[in-house]
Amino acid sequence: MKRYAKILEVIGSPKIMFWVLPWYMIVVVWGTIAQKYVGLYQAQNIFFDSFVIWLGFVPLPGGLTCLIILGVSLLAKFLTRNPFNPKNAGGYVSHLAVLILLAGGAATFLYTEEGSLTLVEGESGHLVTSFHERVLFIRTENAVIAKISREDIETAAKNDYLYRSTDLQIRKIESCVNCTVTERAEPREIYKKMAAAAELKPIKPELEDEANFSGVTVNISGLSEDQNGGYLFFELIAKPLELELENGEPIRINYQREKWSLPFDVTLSDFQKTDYPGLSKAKEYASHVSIIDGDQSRDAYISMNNPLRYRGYTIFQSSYAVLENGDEVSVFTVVKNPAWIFPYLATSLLALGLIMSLLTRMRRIKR
Amino acid sequence: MRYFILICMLFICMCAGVLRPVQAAEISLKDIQSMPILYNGRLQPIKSFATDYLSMIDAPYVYKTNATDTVMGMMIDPEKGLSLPIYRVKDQAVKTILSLRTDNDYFSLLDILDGFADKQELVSKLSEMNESELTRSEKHLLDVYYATLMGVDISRSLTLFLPLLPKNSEQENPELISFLEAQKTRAELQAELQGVLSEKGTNLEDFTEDEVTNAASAMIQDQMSFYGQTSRIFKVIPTGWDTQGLSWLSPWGVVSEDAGSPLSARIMDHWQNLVNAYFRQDGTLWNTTRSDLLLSYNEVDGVSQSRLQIESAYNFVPFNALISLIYLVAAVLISISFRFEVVATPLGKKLIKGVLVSGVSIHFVMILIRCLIMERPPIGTIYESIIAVSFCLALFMVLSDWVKRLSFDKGMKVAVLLFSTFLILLASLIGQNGSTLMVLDAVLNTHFWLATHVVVITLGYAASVLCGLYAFVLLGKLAFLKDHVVKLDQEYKYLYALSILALMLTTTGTLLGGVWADQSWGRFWGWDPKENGALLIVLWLSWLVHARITKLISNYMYAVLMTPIISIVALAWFGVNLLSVGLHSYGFTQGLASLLFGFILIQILASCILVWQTRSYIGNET
Repeated sequence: MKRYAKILEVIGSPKIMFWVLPWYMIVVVWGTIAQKYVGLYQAQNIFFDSFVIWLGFVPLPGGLTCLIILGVSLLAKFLTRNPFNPKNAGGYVSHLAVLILLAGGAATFLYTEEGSLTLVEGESGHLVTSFHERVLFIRTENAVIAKISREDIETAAKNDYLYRSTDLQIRKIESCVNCTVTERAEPREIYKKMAAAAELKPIKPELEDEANFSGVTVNISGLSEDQNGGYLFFELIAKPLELELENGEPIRINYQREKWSLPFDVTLSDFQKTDYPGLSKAKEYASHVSIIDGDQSRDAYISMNNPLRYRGYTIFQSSYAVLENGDEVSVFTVVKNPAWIFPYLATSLLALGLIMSLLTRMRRIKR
Repeated sequence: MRYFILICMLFICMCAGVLRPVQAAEISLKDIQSMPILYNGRLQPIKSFATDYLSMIDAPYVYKTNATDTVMGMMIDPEKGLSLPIYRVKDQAVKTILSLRTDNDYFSLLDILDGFADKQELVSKLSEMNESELTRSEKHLLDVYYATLMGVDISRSLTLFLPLLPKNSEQENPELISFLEAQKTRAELQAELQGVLSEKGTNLEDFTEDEVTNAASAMIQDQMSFYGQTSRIFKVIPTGWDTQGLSWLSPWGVVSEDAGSPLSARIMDHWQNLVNAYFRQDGTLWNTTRSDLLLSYNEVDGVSQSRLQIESAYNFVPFNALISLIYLVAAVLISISFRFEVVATPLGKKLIKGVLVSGVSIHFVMILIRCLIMERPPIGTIYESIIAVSFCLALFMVLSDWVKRLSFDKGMKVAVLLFSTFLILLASLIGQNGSTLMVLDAVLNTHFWLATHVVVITLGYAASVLCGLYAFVLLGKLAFLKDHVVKLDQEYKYLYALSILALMLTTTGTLLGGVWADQSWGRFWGWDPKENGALLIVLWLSWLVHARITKLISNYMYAVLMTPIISIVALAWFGVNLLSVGLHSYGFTQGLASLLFGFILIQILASCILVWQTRSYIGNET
């Protein structure tokens, strides 16, 4: 028992925080400046949500590593610290709040699902489109055969298998995070359908990942002779490619943003944009929606700073657009975050703890 | 309290000068400075509109101080207005492009319009480019172009009320009437003209003198109507059939959109009478019409005369200059008291306290007035946040005097006052080219979060700056006052308590920001540059506080490492905005980079000098 206490004491040593925190600050500054050049999504992946930052071939601790070390150290300190007494109550409460915040952050990182739901006035929908995740989606009439993520496609080398089974093999030819489609410079017989006439051309990725349009060219084999060959998949091509397995079962393949389904339908009844008088600057934008959940239906009002929380999902008013025909479109951000309450709790506790610490300190000075 | 009452009385006296009633037979365009105009998304007094425009074109000070006279003068006497040298063109390349004199910086609208006459192609090309692709001169050229367009719009605003057309062509010196008045007989005139044209054709030589005058009059009316239609900026006429939910249009807008209503017709008539009274120098008509116009405006939903008058008064008082001056005077008095006993006497101390309290009170009044005008919590823009941090610094200092043993010493007071003055001057610099009373983006349009997160984080910035200043002053005393070591322990404790306060406010403010982001954007933390800036302050303070508690650094090193907090606050406050990325796009600022990095460099140099001077304390364990 004593040995464990000793280990905990070492892990909870303030020296760990003393040395880790400055490095973490450097990571924060580095990642913030990097956003100017690589965009938020990439900076987040490289610096804040990473275990290792690669400086050339030199591995450096990433933001996630720092947070885990700090969190574990704080937890150890918490378990070994002096018993609670009114004099150190402020520190006790505020450190507990930081632990809750870190736990909330970890839960959010692991379990949050988020995406956008776009509805035209009068339209209903339940399919939420992911902001960042793109997948090469392979399915039959009744089942999903495979979902190959953009990350896996990008890290695969040329001719690597992206998917392999007895009756279907897909190998990568080329891919790009942000592409445009141009006329194929050298037509070859191997390429089928759209790929026969067009090819992907990589362009500079946008800083905001949502604005990128990814694509991949693959070599498909294992099908009938006339179907085997090179195919092009591009995010902007919504229509799936239809092929047939040797056993006659049809399959569909397309490259799309990952989608997930809400357990209820949302109908956009009305979208309202209120401008400041005499300006085209929005003062407020808001949507009147109906939530249709089985037999039940309820009306709700969603506006900026006023989201709707329903069955663990939170629906935010995020943007709007007007179509060429004049129809108004409302864009919602949909988030399912089981840990959403943690920051609220941590904020309250931290404020309380710091106020208690300050009052204790002031009393000491006045004495 | 006494000081506060005195300040309020002084302020009321100053406002009384602005709000005095018009004497009989005295006509001044200033009399209409509190009339409402819809501009930049809100109803504001004409004076604000005029001041904003003249600030935008960087007009000479003499014109800015008489903003209503200048801008209303441009409308009521466009010919004179066109030749006023009020447009500043400071870039030599732009002057060359526009064929302007290079030895002068101020030009008239006519000079600049001449310059742009053959530059339409260039302007179209530049306006289609991204701002980041433009050179400084090209940006300036576009700014001048847009300001010129606005100037043309302004100068045409009242042309439909101006007496430009002959009423009765048969008289030798016919009475002149306005376009609006001529409209009543326009149909008749056109019918008559049609008759003449069908009878005599289009050759003017066959026309009688009266017929030529009538033809000229009709032609002028057509031209005025054509050009007037583009004048949309002077939105002083509420249109609609009930008094609620009205849209406001310019006088020409009402005519061209045919958007009249009984109320708008009445207000148009009042404006016509006002212009007539001005030209006839009829003081009685002027005053009567002004009162009628005010009564008519009072019927309109959303028009609050008291708010308009408060805003006029706000524009009249040079708050920033006044507050800076008072803070500087207080700093000088405190500095003198180091050496001269006279100022250190009880009377001298009361004088200093009086000056300090008056400065903070006027600062408070300024912020309060802005709240009343904008009908929202006081901090919503970068300008307002600078003014608020400056106020919080001074307020902390005054409040600390109330608690025995928590009072700042003289050196700290001078440092706080000088820093507050610096911030006010910085705010003036940022707000110099336009109005500082701006409507907010939709995401910021929430009273609750402006009153909680923004206020707490502003207090946090101020407390962090105080920590930095306290550390600088402490090191300064160690370096230059050899007998200072006596109070040292107490001062270290004070610095520590201040940093706990700063940590509390910045942490709570940052987390409240996270909760707001969760409400608005669906995530508590998104690694946005603005969020990271605030996090950096929190991390730095946490690091120092924990290092001190666990005695990993000495008190001296604690003070040394606390000095960079001012630079960290500056980077979190302004630096991250320079990146122009992320969701906090409403906070982006341009053109502050060199100032910011200069400021940080000076701070680093000052820290290095102080550390060098106090190097004997390095290694001291306590």
